[in-house]
Amino acid sequence: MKHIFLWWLTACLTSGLALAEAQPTTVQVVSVHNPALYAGVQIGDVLQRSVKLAVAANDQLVENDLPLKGLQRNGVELRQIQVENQSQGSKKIYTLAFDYQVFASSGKPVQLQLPVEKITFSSGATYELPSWRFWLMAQLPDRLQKAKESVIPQYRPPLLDTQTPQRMLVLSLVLAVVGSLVLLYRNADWTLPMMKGHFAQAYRKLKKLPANAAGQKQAALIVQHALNQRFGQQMLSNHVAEFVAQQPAFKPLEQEIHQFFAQANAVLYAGQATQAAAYLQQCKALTRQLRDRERGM
Amino acid sequence: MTSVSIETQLTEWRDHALTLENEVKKVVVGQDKAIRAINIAIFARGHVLLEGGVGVGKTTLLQSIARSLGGAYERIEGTVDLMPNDLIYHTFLGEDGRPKVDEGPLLRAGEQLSVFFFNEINRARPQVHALMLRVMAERHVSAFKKEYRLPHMLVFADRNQVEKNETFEIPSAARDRFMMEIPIEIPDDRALRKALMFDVKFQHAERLTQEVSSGVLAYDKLNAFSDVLQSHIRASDVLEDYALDLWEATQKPAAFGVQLESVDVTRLIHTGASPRGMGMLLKAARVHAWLMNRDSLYPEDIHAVFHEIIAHRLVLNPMFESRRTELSRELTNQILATVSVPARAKAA
Repeated sequence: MKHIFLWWLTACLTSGLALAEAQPTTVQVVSVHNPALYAGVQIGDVLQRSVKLAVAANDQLVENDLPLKGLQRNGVELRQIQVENQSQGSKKIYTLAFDYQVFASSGKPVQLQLPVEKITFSSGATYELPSWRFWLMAQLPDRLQKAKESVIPQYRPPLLDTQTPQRMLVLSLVLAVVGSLVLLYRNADWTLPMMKGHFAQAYRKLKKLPANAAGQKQAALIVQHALNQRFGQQMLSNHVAEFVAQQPAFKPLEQEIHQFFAQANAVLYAGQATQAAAYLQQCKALTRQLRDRERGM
Repeated sequence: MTSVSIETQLTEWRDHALTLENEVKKVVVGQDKAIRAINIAIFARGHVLLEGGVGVGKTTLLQSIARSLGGAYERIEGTVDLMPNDLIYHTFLGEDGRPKVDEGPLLRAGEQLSVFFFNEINRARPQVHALMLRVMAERHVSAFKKEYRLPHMLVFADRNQVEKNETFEIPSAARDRFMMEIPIEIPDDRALRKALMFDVKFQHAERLTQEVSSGVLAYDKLNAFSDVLQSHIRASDVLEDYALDLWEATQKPAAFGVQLESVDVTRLIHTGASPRGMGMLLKAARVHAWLMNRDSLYPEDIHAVFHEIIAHRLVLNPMFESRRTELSRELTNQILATVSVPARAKAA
């Protein structure tokens, strides 16, 4: 019995020791830091979390058991992993920083998670960094459709009828130009090639004359000269009938031309004084009428 | 002489002058222009050369004028054997059988001679022309050891341009003594032509001229009145310039742009109008102005007498002499048409 007891005791002690020797070293979690935001995460965002573990000084991290960089799990890729350690007395402090990048995408918000990471030490001790859930925000509308279905056909905008306004515009322009030319032709004091009529020239000269006896005489000579030029020879009062017969455009002014000769003879040859200003005005009025006739007005 | 009496004189004489015209027009039809020209010559105291064909009424016209003018009327026919002394005297046998000398047609009437008619003057010799030239200019002639004054005499001559045989061209100096050369042409009016043919009164020239009132004008007072008239009518500086241009145009027509259709005018003129000719032009123009009841000269007055006074005075280069009458009249026409008031300088 005794032997059995002793055997039992020895077996218990031996197994106790063996158990004591086989029990792994404990891993003490110093701190865990997860990303600050768990919602509103978008594709491409980088999420970081880190864990600080304390193990026995003689214990070491088995780095080969760490997940490989670039590993994708449910739309989350491990982008970077950094490991640091430092000794503190009888302990060794490991700091592991995981960088994840989100590559998942969804039409509506979905919950994803940073995966569980198992950290193994040489003593056999392990630590599992728990998963961390976050909400992936939908970047696109809920119901994606083919672009073609939403494309609005591009029709050419309906054109207004511009032909009629254009015609009216051209007509107006033509009328304006013609009207301007007519006004110019009738009233212009300066000369264009087609405005060098004898009476037009005479009218311009008359406008520069002073209202005195000399100007009066000069006016009579100017009008006489213009009549001579138009008639083609020296024109006297007894030529008026022949003149208007030869150039019927001046027929309506026959009486006025007769009157001019009567006055011009008095001024030029009889030395009769008249009201210079009034006479000049008469000459201008007659010459203007003659000029209009000359221009076919 | 007060201005009032001058006005009265002018008016009364004008009435007489127009009466003379009307009297002559009664018997000479279709020659109004010539009658007016002769009337002007009478009051301007100028001699007249009538030019025209045979039987156109030159003699009747002159006889009518002479009758109306009053005074003595003498006439001589131009012939190739006419000598100057034939005008001064003629010889004949008297009743007693002795030779006698008497005054010729030029001297016979003495100072009462108002019209001396030289018919067909171009048939007379140049010696006769020379005598006439002197008498016309000086209005006196020496004969029988005394001087005969002919103060009121006007010479009316005619020449027949149609016939050239036995004729002598009147030299330019003699032509220049005539104030006017007046063409007498057959009237164009058919009614007048018909009257000349069928109205028997026109067949008796002598009887016809008797119808003209005699002595309408006081011939012996014409010289004095003519002086009054000439000094009364004024010419403005504008008209003087115009007349001067006309004169220069007779000398250098090309310079005034005068052109003739068939002739190079630069070679046409040998000598233009003379100062005497231009003086006569203005004298005659003044008479025309007076007849038109004006006291100032107008260009119309010059135009009215320009052809008659200037055309026969122009001396053409010899190559054109055979066409003298035609060319000189065409030239004066063109001068009047081309030269104008205002004068060249003022028109510029």
